Amino acid sequence: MTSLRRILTGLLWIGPWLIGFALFTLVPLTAAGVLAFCQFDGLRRPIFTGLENARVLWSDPLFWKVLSNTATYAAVALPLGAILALALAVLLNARIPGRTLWRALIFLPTLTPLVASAMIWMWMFNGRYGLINQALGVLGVEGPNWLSDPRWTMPSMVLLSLWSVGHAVVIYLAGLQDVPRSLYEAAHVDGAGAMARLWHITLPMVSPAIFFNVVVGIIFVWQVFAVPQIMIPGGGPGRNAYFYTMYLYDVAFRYQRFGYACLLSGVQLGIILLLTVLAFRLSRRLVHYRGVGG
Amino acid sequence: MTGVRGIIQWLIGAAMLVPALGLVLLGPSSSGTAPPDRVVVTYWEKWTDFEGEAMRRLVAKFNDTVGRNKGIYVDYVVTTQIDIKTLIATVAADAPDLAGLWPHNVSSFAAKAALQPLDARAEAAGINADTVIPVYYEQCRYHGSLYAVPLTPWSLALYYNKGLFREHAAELAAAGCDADRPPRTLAELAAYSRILHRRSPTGEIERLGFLPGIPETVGWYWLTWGLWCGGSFFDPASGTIRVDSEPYVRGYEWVRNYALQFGQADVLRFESSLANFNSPDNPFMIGRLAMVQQGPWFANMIRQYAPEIDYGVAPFPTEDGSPIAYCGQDVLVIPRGARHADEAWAFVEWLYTSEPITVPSGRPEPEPGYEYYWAKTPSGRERRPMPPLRPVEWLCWIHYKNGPLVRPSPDFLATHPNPGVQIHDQLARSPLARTEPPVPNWTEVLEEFMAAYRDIWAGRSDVRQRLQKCQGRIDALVAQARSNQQRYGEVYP
Repeated sequence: MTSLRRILTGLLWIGPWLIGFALFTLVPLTAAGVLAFCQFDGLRRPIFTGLENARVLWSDPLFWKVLSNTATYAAVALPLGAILALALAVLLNARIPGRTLWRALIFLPTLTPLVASAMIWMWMFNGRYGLINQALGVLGVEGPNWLSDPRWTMPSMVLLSLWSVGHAVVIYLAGLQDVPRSLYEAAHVDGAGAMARLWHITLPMVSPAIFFNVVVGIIFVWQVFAVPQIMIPGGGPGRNAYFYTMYLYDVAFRYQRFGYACLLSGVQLGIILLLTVLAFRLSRRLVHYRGVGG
Repeated sequence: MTGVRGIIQWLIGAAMLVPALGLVLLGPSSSGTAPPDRVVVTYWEKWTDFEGEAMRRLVAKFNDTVGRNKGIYVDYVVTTQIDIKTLIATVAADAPDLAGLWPHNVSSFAAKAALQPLDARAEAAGINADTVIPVYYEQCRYHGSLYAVPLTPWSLALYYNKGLFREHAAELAAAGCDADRPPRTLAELAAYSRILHRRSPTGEIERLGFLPGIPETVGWYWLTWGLWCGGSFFDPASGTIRVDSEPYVRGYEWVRNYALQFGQADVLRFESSLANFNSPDNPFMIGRLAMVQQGPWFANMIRQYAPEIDYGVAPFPTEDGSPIAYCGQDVLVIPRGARHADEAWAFVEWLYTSEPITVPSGRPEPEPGYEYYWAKTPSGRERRPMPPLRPVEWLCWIHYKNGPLVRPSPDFLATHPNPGVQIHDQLARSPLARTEPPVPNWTEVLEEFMAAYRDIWAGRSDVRQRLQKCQGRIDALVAQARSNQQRYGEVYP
């Protein structure tokens, strides 16, 4: 096979993907970049308006509101999810009875469709009949109206985000099982306690997995959409659970301000990129790869 | 080796062809029953269930009669999120020939030139301000042109449980309320509600007389409270939307105080305990609410879920007792770029101008509304053959809604299954009938207003301040929409 023929064969095989990528990613991405500087309602010709959309964005109180809500959600849900997932993975890595069953149970919620999860949790959070308030009632605590009290809508969403830590747990488990037993034995001989072993061996050794989960987590939490959209349309009272992607969806498809929506999506992409780059920078100091450097 | 690799490559290729062929053969398609010699009119509509079935039967009637003679076949396609999908399809130059939208879409779509004007067609068919009830006709117009045709209209009313009223007649009388009639003013509504509300031994609210509520529960029409106090959404002279005027402040203060009198947290907890509205556990059906603000379709829900309830229908209470009405409707539009606009209009015209018809249900068992109706007689009720109605009236009849025509068919109101249809009809004809304002960005304005309402209902803000803050935001949205329209050389609204 000549090299030209090899190239052509290769192109032929990846052709469907290339065409799909160009049509459904590259072209829309480029168009969105241009339309971000236009007034465009989808039906009439776009009108170039320069930085008008940016001016509107700067003075749009709802933009700042959803940005603040999403940042708060990300700042709480991401570390909380990472800590819980890691703790569960450490537990599930230990020799506990029914370990396989526990692992399956922890992973199971991630298989539940988002809409089904949202519907179930709407009843879990129900102020009167919800299981959470029933459980709190047993403890003598009167639970709040989770989804209609503006103080509790955001905590409800954060709590709910912990429901699907199963994916992260599986990745941590794989990382934990890759930690050489000899390191723990050596530490044990040196008199290191459980916490010291966790801090000096486990965490550094699974840091690549933590890093992976953090990067994926950043991308996901900044795009949180379906569950709050179903459970608390409009973000509830005070719009405290109105997130960035919900606003973006409304601006584009309900208000047909596609130009402004393109700018909003560009800003979202920028934020996620920035945070991801930041995570990569930090990873140079905090993530340890075996056989690479120190 | 090359031979084996070649075989593997062909196998993979063939494996990829299978889903592609499957998509072509089994993917989305039309109903496939269109006769080959007919022009197919694609009709997107939002209705499913019994409402969808009725429209499907009506379409079949057209296809079997006028459609057959004119060579037209209407293909009824149920479409969720119909407004967004119609818009996207129109952008993509693949619009349906006919679409059933909501009335607030008319101004929004028309302002973007997404709809075909229907003035000439409608005038030729006699669909005009003289033949269609004004509040519904005006809602189909934008900038003086007609862009839609009313399909199934409605007006809001108070549905009240007469049984509960009777049960608490003595208490109502002691409080100066008359158990034999519903409340007429907002003050009376609050008074009746206080008497009819019940708590459990642990202090939880078991029943409320009425609940303003949020749109996800029973407060579907949360936007009307300013109207009940004599306010108006829109001042046509100045082109301004106002939600912070005194009537609005009074209306929403009533809502706020209503929640406070029963305890804000208790009311919210009660509200969160209410089951899905469109279900047998609807709070009105199971006696947890004695009164609700609803449209004529609610009578059909009662028929389905709790036919034993003795209920009445009345104009919704207002501040001074005058019968103000809030009206809406489903509308038909022909989007820009529709390939068979003439044929689509032939169907619309038939809905309005056809001789009265009857529609068979096509099922083995006779069904009310298709084969028969229940006539009220001095001795009770009697089963009679369904009278002929004009197609659009028949659709309203079977949807339990009032009709759009100034002069309805003689049997329309007389045989109508909704006991409150006269009330809905009178309200729609009233000079005090109100609708959503014809502004292109109403959806966005409404979202801002709804956020204010949610805060007020949750007891989060001072009513006046919250409405003023909302007004500031609405002013900014209106200014922006105005400037957007000006860039295209058009005026707002």
